Amino acid sequence: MLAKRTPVHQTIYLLSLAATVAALWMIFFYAPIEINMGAVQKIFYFHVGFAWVGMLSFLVAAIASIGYLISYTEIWDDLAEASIEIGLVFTVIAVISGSIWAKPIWNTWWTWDPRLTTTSIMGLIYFGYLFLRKALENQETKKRFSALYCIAGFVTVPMTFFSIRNARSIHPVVIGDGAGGMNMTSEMGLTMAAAILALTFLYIALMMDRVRLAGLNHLYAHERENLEQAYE
Amino acid sequence: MSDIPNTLNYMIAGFSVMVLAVLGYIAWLWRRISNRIKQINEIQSESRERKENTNGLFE
Repeated sequence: MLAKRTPVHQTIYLLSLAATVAALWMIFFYAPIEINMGAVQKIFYFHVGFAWVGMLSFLVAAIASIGYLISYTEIWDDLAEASIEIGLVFTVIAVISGSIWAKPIWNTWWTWDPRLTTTSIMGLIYFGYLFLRKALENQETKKRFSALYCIAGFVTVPMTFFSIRNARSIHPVVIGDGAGGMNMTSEMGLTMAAAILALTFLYIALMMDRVRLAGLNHLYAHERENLEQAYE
Repeated sequence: MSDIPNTLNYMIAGFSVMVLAVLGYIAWLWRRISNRIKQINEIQSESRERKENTNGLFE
């Protein structure tokens, strides 16, 4: 069962592909060019999508960690680990694409602005989660400590989200109408929604594959243990 | 129109990074899955062989 993708899984990959193509079409042919930034503003649709889905994946990981501490069921631990790995990939992409956008707009690749600083802290905290898992050998201790770490680390997510709203930041407020907003047209708003939807489908498809990998890892460990016992 | 800054190169760089990073991660994930399936198949066939040999000894 683990060796092949289910039809539902394949459908989600296809939906993600179709939604990405639709979002790209909207970015290049539907949304207008932003007058102050030019073509580089088009990065923002997927940049925001990656950042949002990255934060969503950390939320999923925190919920899964709570689920693990309540039930001590392996699947919750697998879900948390998978979600953090994918969330980190999405966050790193958001940071790099944001940096490329910043060069022509802020005239610098990087600045210690509240949003960029909190995002860096959030990323480092979640990299720490993966290192922690590698460092602990006892399986039960690893899962319990990782769940606690993940729940505690989640504090960096709202901190990052609200950093542009509550602190003095030069980063634009893309969602909502806070000060320093991008004043998006309705076409831009729809395009952003399409990009976020496409990346949400991609996240779900990747999660299914990553959890499948975790299942395969458990099966491998189990088979190996059986074989070692047989040789004893 | 001429007032709009020319930032096309940055846009191309940004999209290229995003596409490459996503495809790179998907390739890495799929590779890990296929490697694990291969390892499981190998270990299962080794187990089967051992079982058959052990049964043969007691027949």
